[in-house]
Amino acid sequence: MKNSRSQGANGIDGTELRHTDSGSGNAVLLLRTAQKSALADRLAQDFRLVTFDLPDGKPQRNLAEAIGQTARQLGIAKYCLIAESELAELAIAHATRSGDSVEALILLAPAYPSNDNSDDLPLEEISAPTLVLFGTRDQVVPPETGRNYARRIPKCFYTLVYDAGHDIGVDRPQSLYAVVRDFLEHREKFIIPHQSSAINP
Amino acid sequence: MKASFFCTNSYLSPEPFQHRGWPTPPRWSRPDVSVRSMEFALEQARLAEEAGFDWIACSEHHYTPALQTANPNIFAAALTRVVKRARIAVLGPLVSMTNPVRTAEELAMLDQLSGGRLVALFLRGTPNEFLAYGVNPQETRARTQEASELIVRALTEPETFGWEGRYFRFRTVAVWPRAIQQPHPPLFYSGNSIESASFAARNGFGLGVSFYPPHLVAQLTTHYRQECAKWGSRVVPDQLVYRTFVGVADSDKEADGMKTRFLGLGAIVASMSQGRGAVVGLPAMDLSPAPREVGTDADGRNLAADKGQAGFGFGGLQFCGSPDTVVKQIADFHELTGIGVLDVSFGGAGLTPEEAQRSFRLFSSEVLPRIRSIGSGSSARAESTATAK
Repeated sequence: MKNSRSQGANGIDGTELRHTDSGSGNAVLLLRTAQKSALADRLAQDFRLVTFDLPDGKPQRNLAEAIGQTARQLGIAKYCLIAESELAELAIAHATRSGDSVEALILLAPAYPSNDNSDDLPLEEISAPTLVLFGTRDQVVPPETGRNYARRIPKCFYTLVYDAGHDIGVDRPQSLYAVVRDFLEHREKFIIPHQSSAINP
Repeated sequence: MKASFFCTNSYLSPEPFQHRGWPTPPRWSRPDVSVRSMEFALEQARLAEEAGFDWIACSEHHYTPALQTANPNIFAAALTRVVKRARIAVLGPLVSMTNPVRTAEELAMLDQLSGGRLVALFLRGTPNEFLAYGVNPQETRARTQEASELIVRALTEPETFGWEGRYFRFRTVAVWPRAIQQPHPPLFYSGNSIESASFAARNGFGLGVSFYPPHLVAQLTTHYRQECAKWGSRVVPDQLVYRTFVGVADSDKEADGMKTRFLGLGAIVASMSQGRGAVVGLPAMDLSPAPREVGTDADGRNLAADKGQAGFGFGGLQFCGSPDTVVKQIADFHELTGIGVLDVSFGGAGLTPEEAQRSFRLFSSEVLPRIRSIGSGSSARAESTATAK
């Protein structure tokens, strides 16, 4: 990542959580599985971005605490949290245990390799406004899965990205960043258009 | 085979048709004539249902006295009040240039108003019509595809959702009321090109083809069947709709006279290709030859083909003759194409109102009862015939 401020690692019970800190502005924590990410590059241009690189597969829930530790060590009290695909479970675990530190939560095509559904997750306990994104062509997780989040998360915004598969950032990077940026900047009010529609003001 | 009556709601006085070119300036429109035209159209729809038509159809068109249904959903709402049994067929909204969420809301309302009798087909529009709402013609194919998927999603999604598209962005969608027919009313997609037929199959839409001669219709329905098979579905005749003109007379000789004088939509398109319609590259119409190949679905990208023999397929009286002749023509057409729903119109430039009325009467009384059984036994044969080509 360009202009990295710092890199480091935190461990809980022998599990290491590596992070990279870059950019400036409001803090965004990104849980990702792929090292190269157009979304991360864009976020680092507009926000202070802390990325956590995690292996594929089901992450250990105890890493939820390590995320909070890292944020505190970096002097970040409040932040927005973004999780890709299978890291949604970890993000939800962290969001439900971290009080009001998580100001907004974004789940990108959440997937659950262990039980293939989100029934066991404490979605009702998520207090932060939450954006749940699915691509309309997702072949890994049916985009209709998003309905479950819409029903159970108190402040959920279930959004479909047209013509995108499971990796939305690969198929529709501009659309993904547009909606993510709007949500990070405006939270619940991202549903209100902020751009003028006047042709010649 | 089923029959659909295409209710054009044409302006009932000849004056505005003197104007050459598209659009026709509103100064030609007299409110009293428009009111009379609307009442006549609704009465025609009532009579068509009484005569046994299965669907009563309308379609979106702009700035022309020939088809005064700028918003087909408004006209369809009126149809629900006078048509009590037949399906209300909106064939269809021009989804490339309107608000898809609004369209979904209106379709859901129409399904409610009609007691679950709505059928809808998504259209792209002709190039001149893109000017009505200022849409870039080059983007209309992609806009039509995205809008169609969004409309389906809006009709079926039980939770509030957002849409981040290429051409459409909605952060809050929650269509209310829901359609009566679940998961949604029967939906069709205009498939006058190979690409559109593929899209229809991939998305589970029925196929609508308009005006092409039979061998080109067969080419499209065959392709559609093959594509549906790839996606694991088998096509039934009711999934295939064909819009066309019909002329029925007491004898073949009389009908031949109609055929010679009939200009149909060719005259309208010829008019559209003048005036402002000309600037979008709508090809000048040579009305004499029938199209010989599938066209480009009015995308304006292959004008050489369109200017050649492909055209837009706006043909003449596809089915024309005595009742016996027309029944045979329709049976042969079904055998070749597998089409299960004929969306027919009887009027057209060059014909007198009396001839159009006679066609309607003869079709209703002597053709319609005899084409009912077409497809019931031969559909499988038609299917294998078409797929074998």
